[in-house]
Amino acid sequence: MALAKLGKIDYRFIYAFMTIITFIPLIYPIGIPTTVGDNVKNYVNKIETYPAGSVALTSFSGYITMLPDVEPIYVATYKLLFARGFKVLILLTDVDAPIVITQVLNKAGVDWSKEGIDFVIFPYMSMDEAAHVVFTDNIRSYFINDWKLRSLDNATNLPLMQEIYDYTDFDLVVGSTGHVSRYNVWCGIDIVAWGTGTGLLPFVGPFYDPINGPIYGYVGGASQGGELEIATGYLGDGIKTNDAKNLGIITLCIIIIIGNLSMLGEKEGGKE
Amino acid sequence: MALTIQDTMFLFIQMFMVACVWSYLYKTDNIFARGAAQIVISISTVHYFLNNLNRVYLQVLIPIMDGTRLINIIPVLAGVLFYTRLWKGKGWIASYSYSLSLGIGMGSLFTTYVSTNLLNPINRAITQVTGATTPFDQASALLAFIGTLCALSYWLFTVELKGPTRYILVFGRLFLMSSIGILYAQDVVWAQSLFIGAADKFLKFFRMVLLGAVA
Repeated sequence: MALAKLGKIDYRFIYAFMTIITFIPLIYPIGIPTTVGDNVKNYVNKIETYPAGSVALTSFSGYITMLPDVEPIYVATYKLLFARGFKVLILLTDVDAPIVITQVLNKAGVDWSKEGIDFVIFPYMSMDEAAHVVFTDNIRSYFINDWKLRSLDNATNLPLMQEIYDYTDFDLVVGSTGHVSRYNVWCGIDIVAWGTGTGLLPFVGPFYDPINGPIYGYVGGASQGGELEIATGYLGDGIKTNDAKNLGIITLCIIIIIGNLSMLGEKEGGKE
Repeated sequence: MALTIQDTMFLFIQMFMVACVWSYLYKTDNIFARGAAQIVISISTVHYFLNNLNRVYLQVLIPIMDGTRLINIIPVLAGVLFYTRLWKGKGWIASYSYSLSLGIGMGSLFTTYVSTNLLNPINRAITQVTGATTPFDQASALLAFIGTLCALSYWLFTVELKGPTRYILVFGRLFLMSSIGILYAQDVVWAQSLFIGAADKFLKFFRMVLLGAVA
């Protein structure tokens, strides 16, 4: 009967309890240990195998609503790519992306005077399957300008683009977890995947092989964003909020177990 | 660095909107939660509309007008035909646009869809068994292979299995529930991340505006 009573707790107490549990580590970090998973280590290792000057295409979906889940991954990855001397192409695949990319690159400490030399941002275009085919086959048949409407053929503003024409000029693709199959089908080039930790990750599974590829490593969701920050050494929001995430999930698991026990208690009570 | 009035307003709006949305947890139908939802929906609608309009103008119309990409006339015409739905009796014209859009979309989608969601998972389920090197990997791959077959049986067989064969469906169902459980867990972690993101915005206001802390 005591168990059955647990189920009658006002749900607002549970919400309030979860809120307090989440706020405590944000105010006073606890330092719950975080282990870096193999998929995250493989993600970093793959990026680090390329020499300076390699070209990485980053598919940036950047939904504003998803940002707390993916921002640590974006920031740590761009920091790593630029530190390794990559030439970075940024594909904006969501309507929010042009706003979000500025914030992310600022957090990554990007030198904007190097735009066009070290990195190029394409305008936002809805990247469905057909668009991917056209883009990878010939970038200029899809985009004629960068996001600031400067011609891709303008050697003064965009010298980087004078060496890049199609997918054969990419050394690595950093693809969204939900879009990776498209790169595999049309390009067959090395991929690491980034994105949310929700149902998108199952798309990665059939392609993930850290030795033979095509996906050599992946990072999905804020928890793995924290792991990525540890693996790269670029600590940021991901690791800062990991305590709150871990503590919140542990508490939620306990609440789910109590909820199930209370349901069991109710059933038993009904039998009596 | 001291906060500007603009920064302070931004932090206040962030905090206030988060508080309004959270008020839904206390009482589902309240004016603050409804107000926040309406504001977000209306701003999003305007944002998406203007962005897409801007995109069509810059990426499609200008190249037509300066003559660099006259072929863009075709998608523009197809797009305009959609609006014939607004006139009674002329709506059938839009079916050409629907057909074109759906036909091309489905054609290109299926090329990757079949590979991603059908051929590759099947291929992976088989090659994992043959390619595994350690006993643990072999056992894991075998379990995944058997689970895949049982789960497929669960969906595909419309005849009710009786006797010992029914355990194939039981195992398939258990396997499916395990997979769905993992997906649900990922969703919970995702929601927790968003909750923390909102909590952080809430705290930022108190730290930076009320307590004067530096970002």
